[in-house]
Amino acid sequence: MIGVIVRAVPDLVEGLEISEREVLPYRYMANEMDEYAVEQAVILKERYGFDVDVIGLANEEAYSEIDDALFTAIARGVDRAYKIMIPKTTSYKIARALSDILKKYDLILTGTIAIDEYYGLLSSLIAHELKIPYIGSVIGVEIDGEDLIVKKELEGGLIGVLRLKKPAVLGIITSERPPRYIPFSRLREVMKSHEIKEIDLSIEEEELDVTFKEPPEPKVEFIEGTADEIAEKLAKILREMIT
Amino acid sequence: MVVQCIQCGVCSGSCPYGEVLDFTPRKLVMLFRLNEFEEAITDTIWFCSSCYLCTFRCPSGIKITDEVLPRIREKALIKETPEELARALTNIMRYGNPFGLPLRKRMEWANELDFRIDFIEDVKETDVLFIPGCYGSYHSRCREVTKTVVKLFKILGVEFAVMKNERCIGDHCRLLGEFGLFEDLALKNIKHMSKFKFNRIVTIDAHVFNALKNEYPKFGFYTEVLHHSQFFADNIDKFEFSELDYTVTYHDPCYLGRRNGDFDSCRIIINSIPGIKFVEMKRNRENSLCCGGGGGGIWLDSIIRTRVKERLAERRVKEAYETNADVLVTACILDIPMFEDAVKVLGLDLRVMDISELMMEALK
Repeated sequence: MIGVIVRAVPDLVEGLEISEREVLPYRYMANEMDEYAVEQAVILKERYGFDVDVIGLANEEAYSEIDDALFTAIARGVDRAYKIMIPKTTSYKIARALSDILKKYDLILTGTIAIDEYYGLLSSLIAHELKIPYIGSVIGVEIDGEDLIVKKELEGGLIGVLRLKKPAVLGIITSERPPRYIPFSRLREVMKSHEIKEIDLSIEEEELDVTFKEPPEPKVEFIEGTADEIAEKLAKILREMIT
Repeated sequence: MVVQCIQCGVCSGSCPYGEVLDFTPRKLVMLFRLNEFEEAITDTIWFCSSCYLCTFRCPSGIKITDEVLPRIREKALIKETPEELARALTNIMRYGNPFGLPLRKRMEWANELDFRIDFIEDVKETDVLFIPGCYGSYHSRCREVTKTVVKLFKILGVEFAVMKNERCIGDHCRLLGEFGLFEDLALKNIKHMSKFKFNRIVTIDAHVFNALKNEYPKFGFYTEVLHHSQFFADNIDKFEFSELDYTVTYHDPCYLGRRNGDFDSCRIIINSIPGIKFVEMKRNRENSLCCGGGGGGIWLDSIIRTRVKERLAERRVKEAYETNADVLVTACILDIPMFEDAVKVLGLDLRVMDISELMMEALK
């Protein structure tokens, strides 16, 4: 059985309100890499016949907004959907709380990073709690008996192929093919015929220390002149940058 | 309806992509009739730019563009949607426009004007409700047309307002077989528009015009809808044009001309500007060649280019260039980016203008 974690993150298209102590998004959406994780899970389901569960994580404001993403996941081919309310707390506490319900899965997929914090912590911490291997930056998965053959992006455009035993946690960067489009009427049909089960983990809230720092003004310099002059000035700047 | 097909093949011969399709319109109609069109779902099902030429010429009156093709595409969407198309449709579903831009930026063009315009949400009642559509609102080049039209309204002294909460009107969704999304957009737009009082709608988008005129009434929305060229042609006596020393040719937009039978509004406007030499292209009026942007074509370039060496827009601007015209005038908002890109690709010396922009130049 495969478990996929989908997190609700701020929708940057709609914008944010930033104050000294808080970041308030106007709207939430599913983390893009998590959507790729769902697609990868469905590809594995089609290829090897796994059952796939999707688990939505959302804070109070995003708790109803995550439904769209979970129903879309069902329409894409996921078997069951769950959702969990996440209070303001650290990734450590979330990973610890999730470890109990994630024990039963042969494979846990999620996006390598979520765009809200950009730490890339959750998937590795889950692996740590479950004492199973973790691989990040994954771009493809195959299954050979009890073994997983995982393709992972390495530095410099190289792709690493790793073989490991199930179970494992994989951080997906992209799926083998882009997430399939779900027509509106199909989505509505799924919304009417399926339901999302809520899981109460009673995760403890923790005060997070957030401070806002004004980013430094970027230095902008327009290089003017003829093509030769511009090239010369640009070369000089670039040379200074590397030395 | 499809049982009336006599398999004459006029549709296939008319189709601007006929020679590259896996299944020509004639074959599609036959497979649709037999309900065995699963095999017809290949890449080329996305080529159709809904130009309406096959439907217009069909001697049996079969609605190929409005019914047969979208019904097959509806199945194709479930099987596999091309990535770039999926992105545009997802954006329409989530944000109400294909660009993935927020609603609050929809009316940003209004800030670029040197006068204030009314929002129907504030004034509640107006004479003309002006709908620029997604391209007219967000696309940087098309916004110039929107602003020009608004300025012409101002010159005419028209009482008009725009809608802050306008969403995609959805004609392309319908032509792409995304009927569910089209219905959702239509119902949301109708619900919003019915809160206000206005006498007519004027739009610069030929597809918006078509959807509001022919499709929205199916959801119980009846109102007078005018294309901006029709509105200006009706008021042509109120403009005092100065002379323009241009040779002009005119491209008939599919959804103003063939689909809705208006070939004359733009020609009336062009011919009322003194000094202009008007020349016709080889294919004009009901035989006009589509720009290739309709029915989702504007989002499917990479798929179409796998088999088509010369885009429809490129073929069309070449035709315009052969007439020795300085200006290619059009009245469909999609044509502007399609033709301007084609002119750049071919390196031709040809200006692409909306009919309203030509009027504005003659007023300066």
